[in-house]
Amino acid sequence: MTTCDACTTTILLEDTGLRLAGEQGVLHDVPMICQLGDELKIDKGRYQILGHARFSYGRGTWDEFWASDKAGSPVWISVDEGDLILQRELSQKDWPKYRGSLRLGRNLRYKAESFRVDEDGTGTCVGLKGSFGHPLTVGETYRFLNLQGENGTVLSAEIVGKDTEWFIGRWIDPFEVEVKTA
Amino acid sequence: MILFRLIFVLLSATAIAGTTYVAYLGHGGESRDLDRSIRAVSAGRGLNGSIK
Amino acid sequence: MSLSPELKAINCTACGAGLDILGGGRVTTHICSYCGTALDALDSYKALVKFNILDRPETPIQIGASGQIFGVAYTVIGLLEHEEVWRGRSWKWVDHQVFSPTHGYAWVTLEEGHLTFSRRYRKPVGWLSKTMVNRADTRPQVRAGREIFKYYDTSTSSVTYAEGEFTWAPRKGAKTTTITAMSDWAMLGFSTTNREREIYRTVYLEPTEITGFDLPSTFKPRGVHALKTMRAGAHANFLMTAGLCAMVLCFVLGAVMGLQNGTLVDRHHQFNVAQLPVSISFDVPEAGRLTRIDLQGNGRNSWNYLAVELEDPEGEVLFESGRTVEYYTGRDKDGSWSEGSNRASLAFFPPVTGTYSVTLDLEESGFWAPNVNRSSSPQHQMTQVSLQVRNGVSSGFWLVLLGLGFGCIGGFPLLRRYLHNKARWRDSDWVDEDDD
Repeated sequence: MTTCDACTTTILLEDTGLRLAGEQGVLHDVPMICQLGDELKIDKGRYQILGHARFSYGRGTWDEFWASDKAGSPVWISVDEGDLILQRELSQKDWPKYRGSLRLGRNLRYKAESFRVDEDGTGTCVGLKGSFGHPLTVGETYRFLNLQGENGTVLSAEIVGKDTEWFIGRWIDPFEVEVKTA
Repeated sequence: MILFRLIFVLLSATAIAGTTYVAYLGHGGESRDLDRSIRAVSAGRGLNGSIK
Repeated sequence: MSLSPELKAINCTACGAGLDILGGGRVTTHICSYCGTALDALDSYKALVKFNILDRPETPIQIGASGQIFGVAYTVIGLLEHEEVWRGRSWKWVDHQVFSPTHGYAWVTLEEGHLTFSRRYRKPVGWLSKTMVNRADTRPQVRAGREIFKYYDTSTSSVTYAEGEFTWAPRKGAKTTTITAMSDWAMLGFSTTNREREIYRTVYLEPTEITGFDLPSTFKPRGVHALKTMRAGAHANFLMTAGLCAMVLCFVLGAVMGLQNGTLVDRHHQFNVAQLPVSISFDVPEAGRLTRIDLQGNGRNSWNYLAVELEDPEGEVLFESGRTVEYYTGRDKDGSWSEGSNRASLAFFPPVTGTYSVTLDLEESGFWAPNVNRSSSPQHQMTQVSLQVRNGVSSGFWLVLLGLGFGCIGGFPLLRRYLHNKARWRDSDWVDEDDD
């Protein structure tokens, strides 16, 4: 999915052609550690930022960047006031398994690591710019869960209606990120 | 910075080379109690000439 | 900055004072600088508890001041004072909550004039608990990445003053226990509050690393702060390596020279004592190189003073001297013992080349404790004396001295480092079990 530079629409690039998707929303200019088109150097990885999405949690907003690593694999980089998380999407077979529902404080075990639900909230997409691996809609609200692992790993879930997506990643220290501007 | 190090290395090398030569000649190993003045009574011949 | 841009200032719901909003969306509590009321930032700034705002601690860094830390722009959004009371003594320090829209929240702590910078640490690291510290026999340590952190101290402190914006709700008098561990460059603080575990990483701030914040230019901290890494000087490592290598080289060369015995002139001469005095001639082919006369006797439990006189090629006496050749031996309750080597030497620098003459005579001799030990320690006078002259002898003396000099140069940075490290760990409360 990509956004149009000329007007305010978002366009879905599908195998059969283009499809109008929705509106881009507005991204206010605020101090950010990186922006669309930058290349981030984190440890030995290089990530090219392709898309910038902003979500509101009511009182404030956070940003998600869709990026591509050296091998071309997609990653999400979540940026929230100096808290950076680098994550990859988990395919359904790799999803964590649990009984019942997940809520704040609940523990689960994933790949020999113990996780605890640290954050449980909702976010609304308020702005989009660039390209993304799957469609996002401005105005769409979804529930997100952040699980903190005892070894530092971060598991995140995004739920829209019946659809769930899981991501796995780790925290990144903003002081250890080198930004090469486009 | 590199100038300081270069000078240090050069001076050290010179000092070590010089001291090695001096050591080779035997300095530092000589006996310190060899009096150059002549004593009145000794085994052997005395000085040819007078002592001033 | 993830706070909605419209929110720039609010009015205190308790006293009406205008307050600037300097923090981001994560701020949950805003304590009014005028009346001290804590306002709930998540609930329309509703008034919560009231803090005593009159005891504002003294600090050059005020709320609203901005500056750069490690090149990143930060603004001071809150002020906190902690107090630790231990065995009748109290320590106070000031924490400044700082915020950067790109790098998040952090703390700048001022203690005894030293500034440190603390941020939340989220990387994988083992936990250090009070139980672990109490149970350990040796100083406990944790590994984080490539750094090893060694236990420093355990402290319990409480908040005695709070003002400004915070991402949590400060409670006056609430106690927090923090266990700290220190590596060569940083400190990790392990705190548990309400079963929430937090790890903070603290580094020292050198004057070049923090600018702005209206800091006075005459800011001079006292003494060595635990985290203050030693400014070793650009050449410290070089001097240490170069100095120690040069020292080793000198010692090796010194040993080589010391073992260098020159060449034997002529042959070994051996005389019966009855033949003394005796004169030997020998050639010195090279002037300026050390020549040594070695003497050896065969006495037992006796001492023998041999007079040595040397004449130069002109027949002039170069020196008159002597050497005592002695050897003692016996048995006591610890076994057999011996003293002396029955050898002696004289070394000199021949001034010119040519044929020299050495005259040897037995001037005086005696027995050792003749009446006491005759039965247990056989004694006999020297009957034979041997003499050899060696040319071109070397000496390691000056090289060893030079080596020691280099050792001082190389060792000085090590000494400084050792002393600084001792000062850094001085305030640690770890006591090894054996030290009790």
